[in-house]
Amino acid sequence: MVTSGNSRKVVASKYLEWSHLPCLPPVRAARRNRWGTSGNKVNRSIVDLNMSVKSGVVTRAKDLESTDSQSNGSLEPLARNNAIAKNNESPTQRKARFEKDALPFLDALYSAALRMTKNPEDAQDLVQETYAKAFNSFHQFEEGTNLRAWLYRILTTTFINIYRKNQRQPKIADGEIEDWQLAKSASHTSDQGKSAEVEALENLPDGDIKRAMQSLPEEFRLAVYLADVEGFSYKEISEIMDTPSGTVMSRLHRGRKLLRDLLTDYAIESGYIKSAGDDK
Amino acid sequence: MSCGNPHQTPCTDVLHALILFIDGEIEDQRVSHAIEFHLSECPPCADEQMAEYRFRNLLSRSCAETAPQELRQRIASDLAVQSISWSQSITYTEISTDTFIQTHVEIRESYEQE
Repeated sequence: MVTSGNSRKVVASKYLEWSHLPCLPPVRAARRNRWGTSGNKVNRSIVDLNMSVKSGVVTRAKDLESTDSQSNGSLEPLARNNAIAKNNESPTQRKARFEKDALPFLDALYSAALRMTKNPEDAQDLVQETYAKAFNSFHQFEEGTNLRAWLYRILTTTFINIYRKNQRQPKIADGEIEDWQLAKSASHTSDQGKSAEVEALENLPDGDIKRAMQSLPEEFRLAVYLADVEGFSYKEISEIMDTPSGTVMSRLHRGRKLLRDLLTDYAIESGYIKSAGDDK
Repeated sequence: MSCGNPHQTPCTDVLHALILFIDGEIEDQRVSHAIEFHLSECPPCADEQMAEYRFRNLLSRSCAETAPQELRQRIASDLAVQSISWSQSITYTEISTDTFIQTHVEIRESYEQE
C-alpha cells in the first residue's frame, strides 16, 4: 500500500453482537453514527445500523464510536474490541449450554409445576415461562453453582407472581415449630412398626397420593414436595421459597403430618388399613 | 415403645432427631454418627427410618410426570427465537493523498439461527 506522509488510514473493525429477546425493553430509535471523522475533507460516512426481527417487533441500533488513528502517519489498523460482548459466549453457544444443562430438568420441573398449579395447561405455561426467564438470565448464572435450585427458584417465584394472584388462598399462619410438636412424635407409636403403616399406603393409587398432595395448603405442599420428592436441603428450600429456614422446618413438619393423616384416611376408606373401630 | 435394649443414645433422642437426620440437616458429625450407630442396633428405630424412606419413595413415584411433547416443542421454539444472533462487522479504510481519496467500506452482516 503506497501512502504519502499526510495520508491517513482509518480502520475500524467492530464486532457487535446481541441477542434479541421477546421481552426486551422498548426499542431505541435508530441513531445515526458519525463514522470516521478525519482530516480536512468530507471524510465522513454515515452508517445506520438497524435491523428488525419478526416484522419490526425488535428493531435495534447500536452506536459505533468513531475510531480515528490518533497520530499522523500511524498506519497500524486500529482495531477496537470494546464492542464485543462482555461474555465471550455467543447466543448459539449459550443456547447449547442451556440445552445441555437446564433442559434435563424439564420433567422434574413439569412435575413440580403440576403440583403447584394443579392443572396441566397452567403447568405447561409455567414451565415454559420458567425456561424463557432462565434462558434470558442464563448469562448471569454462574457455572458450577446450583443450577437445579436456581431453576426451582425461578419456577416458584414465577408461580407465586403469576398464578397465585388469580387463586386467592387464605394465608396460613406459619409460626415456628414448637418443641412439643417434635416431642410428640418422639416415641414408637405402633406395635406393628412404621413401615407396615407405609406399606398400607403403598397400595394407594397414584391419583390418591396426588389428590392428598393437592389438598395441602400451598406453602406446606411446596415445602414437602421440595424436601421429600426433590431432596432439597432446608437452606435450598428457604432460598427457593424465599422464607427463613425456621419457617421451612415448620411448614415441612406440619405439611408432612397433614399429608400422612390424609393418606391414612384414604387408606382406611379404601380398606387398606383397618380403622380402630374394626379391630374390636 | 423401645426394643428394650439399653442404648448409648436413648430411642427418644434418636426419634427426636430422626427426621433431621434423614433430611441430612445434622451438621454435628458426632451426633449423626451416634444416630447411625443407634439405628444399626435398634430395629424399631431402624424401622422408623425405613418407613420414612419408603414414604418418600412413594411420593416421588406418584408425583413423577413426563413433560408433554408439546411443552418441549414450545420451549425449543422459544429458545430458537431468543437465541437469534446478529453480527455485523464494518471495515472502513480510507487512503487520502493530496490528489485523491479512496475509501473502502466493507460491511459484513450475519444472522445465525438454528
